[in-house]
Amino acid sequence: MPLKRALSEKEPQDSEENGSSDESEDEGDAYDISAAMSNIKSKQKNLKKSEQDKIGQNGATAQPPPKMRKVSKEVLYKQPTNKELNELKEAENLFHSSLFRMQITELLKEVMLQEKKKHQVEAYLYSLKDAIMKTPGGKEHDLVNQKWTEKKKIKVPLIQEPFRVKGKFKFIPPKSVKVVGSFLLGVAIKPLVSVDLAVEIPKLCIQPKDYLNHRYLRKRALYLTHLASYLSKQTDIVEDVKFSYHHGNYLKPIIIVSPKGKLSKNVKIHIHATAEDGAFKMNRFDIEKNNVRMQWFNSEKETEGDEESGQPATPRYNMSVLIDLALEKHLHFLHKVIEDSAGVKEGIALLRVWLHQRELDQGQGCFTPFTLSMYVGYLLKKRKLNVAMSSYQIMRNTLLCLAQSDWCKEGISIADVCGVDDPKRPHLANFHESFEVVFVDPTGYINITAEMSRQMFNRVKHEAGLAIQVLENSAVDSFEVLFMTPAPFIRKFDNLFHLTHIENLKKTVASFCLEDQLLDRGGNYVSACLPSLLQLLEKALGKRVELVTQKPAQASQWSISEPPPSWSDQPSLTFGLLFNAESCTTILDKGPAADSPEAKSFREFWGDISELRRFQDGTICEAVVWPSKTLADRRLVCGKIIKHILVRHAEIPRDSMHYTCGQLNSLLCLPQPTNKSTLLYGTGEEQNYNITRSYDHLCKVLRNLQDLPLAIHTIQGTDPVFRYADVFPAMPATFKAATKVVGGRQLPLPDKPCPPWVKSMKVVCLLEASGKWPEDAEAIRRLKAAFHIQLANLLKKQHSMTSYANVDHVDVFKDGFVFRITLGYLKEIAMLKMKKTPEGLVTMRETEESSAMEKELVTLPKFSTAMHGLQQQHHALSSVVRLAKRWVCAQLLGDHIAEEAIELLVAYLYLCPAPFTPPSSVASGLMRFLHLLSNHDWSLSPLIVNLNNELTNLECTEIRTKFTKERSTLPLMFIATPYDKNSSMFTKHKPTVPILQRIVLLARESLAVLQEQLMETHQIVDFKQIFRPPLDAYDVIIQLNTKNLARHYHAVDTTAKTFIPSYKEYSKGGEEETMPVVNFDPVQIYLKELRETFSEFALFFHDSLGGDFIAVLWKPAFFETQPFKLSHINCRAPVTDGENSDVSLKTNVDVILEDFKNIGTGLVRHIEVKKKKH
Amino acid sequence: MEDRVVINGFTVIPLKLNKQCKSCHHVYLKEHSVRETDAAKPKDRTLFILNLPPYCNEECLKRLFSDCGKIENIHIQQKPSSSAPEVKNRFFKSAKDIEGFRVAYIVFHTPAAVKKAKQFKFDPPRILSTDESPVLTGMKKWCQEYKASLPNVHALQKEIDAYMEEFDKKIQEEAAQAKEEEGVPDDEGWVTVTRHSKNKGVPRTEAQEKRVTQREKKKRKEKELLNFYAFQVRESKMEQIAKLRQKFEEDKQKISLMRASRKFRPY
Repeated sequence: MPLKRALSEKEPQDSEENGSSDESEDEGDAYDISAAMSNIKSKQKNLKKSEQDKIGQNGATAQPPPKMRKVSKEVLYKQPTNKELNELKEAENLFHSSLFRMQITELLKEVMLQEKKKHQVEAYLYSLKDAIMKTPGGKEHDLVNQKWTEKKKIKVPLIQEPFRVKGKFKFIPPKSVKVVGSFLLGVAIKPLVSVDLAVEIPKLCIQPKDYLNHRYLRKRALYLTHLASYLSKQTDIVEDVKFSYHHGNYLKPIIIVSPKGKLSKNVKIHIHATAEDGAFKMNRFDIEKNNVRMQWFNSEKETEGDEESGQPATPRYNMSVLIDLALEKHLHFLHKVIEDSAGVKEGIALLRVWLHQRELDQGQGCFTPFTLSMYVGYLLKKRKLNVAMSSYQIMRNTLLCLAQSDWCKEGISIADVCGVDDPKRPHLANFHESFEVVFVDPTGYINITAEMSRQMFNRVKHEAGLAIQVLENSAVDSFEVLFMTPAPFIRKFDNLFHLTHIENLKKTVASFCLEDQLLDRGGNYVSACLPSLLQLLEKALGKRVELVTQKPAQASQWSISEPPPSWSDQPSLTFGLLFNAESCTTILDKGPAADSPEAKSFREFWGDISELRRFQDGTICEAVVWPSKTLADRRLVCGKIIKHILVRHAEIPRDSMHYTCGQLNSLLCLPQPTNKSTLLYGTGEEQNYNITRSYDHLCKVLRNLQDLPLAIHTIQGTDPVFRYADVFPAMPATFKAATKVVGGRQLPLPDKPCPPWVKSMKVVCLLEASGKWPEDAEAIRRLKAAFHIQLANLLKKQHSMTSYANVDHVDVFKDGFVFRITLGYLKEIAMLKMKKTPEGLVTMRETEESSAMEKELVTLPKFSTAMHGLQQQHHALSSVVRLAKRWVCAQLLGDHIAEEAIELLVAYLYLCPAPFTPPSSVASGLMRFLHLLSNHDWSLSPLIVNLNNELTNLECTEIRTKFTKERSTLPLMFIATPYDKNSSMFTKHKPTVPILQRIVLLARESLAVLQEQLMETHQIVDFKQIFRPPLDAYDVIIQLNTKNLARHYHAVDTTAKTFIPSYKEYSKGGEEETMPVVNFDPVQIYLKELRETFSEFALFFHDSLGGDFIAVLWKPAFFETQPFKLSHINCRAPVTDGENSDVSLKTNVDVILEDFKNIGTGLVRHIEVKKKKH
Repeated sequence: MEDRVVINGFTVIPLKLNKQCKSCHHVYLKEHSVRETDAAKPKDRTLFILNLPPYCNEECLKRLFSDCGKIENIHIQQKPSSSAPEVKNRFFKSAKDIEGFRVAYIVFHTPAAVKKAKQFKFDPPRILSTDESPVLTGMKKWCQEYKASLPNVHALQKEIDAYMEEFDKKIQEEAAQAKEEEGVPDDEGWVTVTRHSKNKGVPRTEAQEKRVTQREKKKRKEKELLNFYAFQVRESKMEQIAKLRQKFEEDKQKISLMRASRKFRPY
């Protein structure tokens, strides 16, 4: 066996070697950066081990996978057996596809407990049970006399307020210890298998009036205390004993036992104390009954005379007791319905994985796995499911039913379905009066979802709906999305909102008049006011949001010697908002007509900010307007609403609310000069519209141009700015710069500061076909140049536009912007491809020039249109793209990955958002971008960006098949679009393998930091942190002279000294306009020269958005000494080897460093060598 | 120490940009000698120089080597080659720009000059940029390049007109020649068909040939009967099963690949 394993491990290694020899060019780089990365790793000690493992994995993914084995014909065409036929067909019928089936099998193998392990656990449980049964009895104490706990150095795991209560407690060893819950049913899943043990408190312990005033709860807690103290001494079988609240319910503590030995890794034993059957009557805890007296709760005095009549009902308290009494009944019910069917069990396990990935099964008021099992049981009883179904069918149908149900309005009841004959049991309607979500158990007395909020259920329902959509869409890898991809709260919701200073909520309880709730929940004011708070938020936000939910607090565990955590100990409450993309930025909330009766309540709700407005249709209505100047402001409206409403209705002070939304905007803003700025920039979106408007006008002019020898057939702006994807849309060139004017054109001067950056925006015009075009590529080039000259002349003459022709473009200065028009002729592409064989046959072969031109004239325009269309559908797309680009640039990798590739990655987030919905905010978009970048399996699967939905399922499959076949020849980052199915043109040459590895690493780190920052509520966080690159991996830093940086004011961090050009509104002056200096960025030219000269020795990194340094990383070739050969002679100095007269070549380091300075005279300020490696 | 440094037949001389520079590039010289000779690089009169830094231009070379003898021509190239480089057009570049380190061929009037150059002493380092004829780098160079990138429209137009005129002439000549040869069989009796001929025929392209073969394939397929004979039915059923199996096998392989990369740990 070990031998076999060794062999199977060896296989992939071999292939790795093969793979790397294919990419010998990149091999050197891989070496280099991974060395640099190990450096980073050692620096960042907080990298967890698991994460390092993942990096190791990713390192492996960089290599192409082994080739597929071919199946021999003999095997394919042999006579099938009946069984085989059935199996093959079954896969298609009973499961999504055969692949899905196999994936499920593998997943279940991973998450379900193996038989062997099960036996181990069982054996352990027996020994634990024996230990528990042997617990010695205790003395009788008053319930309030808890001095004995002090002696045992243990704290009671219950918040006892008010403390004084009557009754006596004596520990008597349990009547029985039973295994209940998922483990017994065989549906427990890893990573943390919890085995529930129910310890029955004997009837003798319980006094007749124990149902009253938390007495039973106290007793239960004391019982657990006693047990825990005993168990903690049984060190031979118990590793550790802790307390916790069962699903965060503050009334229900449990003991968590970590077993001794190997089991403790992934098995925990949860010990619940329950009352012996028959200790209480079920109907004593009817939902309408009161079991906690107001007098006692408020004054700490218990008088026997307290009558029940007139007291508010305590349904939640009642349920928390009842659920103890019915534990066993529930288990029996589940056992009966599941009938030991493997399909059902596996189906439940799958659903639990699904729940767990969405964090729906954690914390207070969550959708517990138990609820899930019961729901499957309910559906089985209702005959919506049957035991013969496959796990896939169970899962799918359950999700479908869940998505279509609404337990808030039409609760469900197992008792009703089973037809339980008990005249006393309450009606469903009664349950609805007391609870938001109703799911009644088989006994008919208990609401299983008593703790769940309406919003929580809606979230589950929403997720189930999404899951069904995913299963129906065959283009998505549904397995991956449903079971493998985590969808944590923080990435799920568009905006987060934190409430700190929880104690303020006490006032809220008063303002909502929720004293009855407080009584029912044992004084837990947080959970008492949450439903009303959420309802208030829902009402205020209305159509703007799809979902509002509170993040359930994680159930904490604490050591038995510590006091139990209280609800007021939570540092903050976190709410998530999922936006409705269409209406979340509306600035006007229209209310009822002024004279209608509802108007008063509307005014009451909104307060002073409600005003009367006349609308276009003539009605006069109450309305609330949220003034906002820019688009960025409009995205903050939800935050404003929440703050206003919570202050007004819930008496929550403003400073305890933290709304995270606009903080990332600062990275898209330009710094404003202190004086004389007249243009509003905001986050640049308004400016982008100005450019588009100007471009539209230019298109009109071009189309109406007279006397052009050939007509223009299409006009398409291919610059990122035309698809709203430029990080900094250009500002009108209205600033003054130190330049020399020659022939109407400004020229830069070497001894003056570099003029600010003016970008030319590319517009491609295709000319119509005509017989007059020559059939020769060189001649076409000449003719095109002639056309450019003519176009410039015509624009000057007919529209008096400042325009200048060049060989392959015309620059037009319009409204302060520079447009660069390129004329194209489609047939030229074919002309470039054409080649004549010696036999005279004309063949078409792609060449570098032809594919470059095809990209320019065909693919980019199509891509631009599609991206523009997508941007129109999703308003947040533009900001997310821009921020993503900014992040990549800020990490110094902007030159190493094509910007179109980044745009496609973001587009993918919108086209295939599963398991989420398309992000409607900048923060959620950026997080998901980083997550996609770092978690997509680049080596094994292509990223298919189905723009405009143009790819059919068949085509997608074809792309995948082709990808798998030709993996080793394709770039590591492979992105397919409808316009470029198999070549991945935007990622063909970059990023290289080591660069992609670095991006992945940086993305993972940045994501972790960003998520932490978004959850931070107690400090001011600097969101620019992930936009500052780590520099310790680099060998040399070239510091640049800031006065010659054309884009320095774009930098992430600007200082008071940074030169900021003052932009004004453009107005055409009377004097002759001059063409500004266009596309002149000395750093870019410098970088180009450096890369041309030293590409053999080093990699260069720079933040193209205003960075003031260049980071250099030596390649391995730099350190190698080569034999004297012509191919190695460049930039190396000869050295002799001692006595041996052989001459070898060594890298001339000093001369390289000096050349860095020489090539960049005037730009380089200082060269800093970071470490000596040799 | 010797005055001269020679390695593998190459004379080494150090080179630096200006006086302030502290370290030097090492340039290697040798006479040009290859099997295939070219008129532009005569065998005994050409000096071959390696490892020239990117800022070294023709003018520098002229100044450095004018002592040896009269220079006829200088070719600066990216890589060594035996043939002459293409002539560059002012506006329409056909070859790539030379990037980074380069090589040069200096053609002298006499072979003696080459020998003289080979006798160059090692010290002192030669300097490329002097006060009289400075080599521009950095901001100065880039500003100048920006200026140069803006073409003179009139000159451009003139150049285009000249080219097109010549091109048109060439086309006309070709057409005339084709007309002349039309219908005239060659020595073996073949008649060449061109697109200028009366009967143009089908163009000989790859796409066209593909189209023809495909058409024939389709025709052949249409004639076949499908699922008609019992054996055909049997075969098509078998084919389907084979397809299912194939998919199943492929899926199995995919799974094992995924398993190998531990893709089934959900968390």
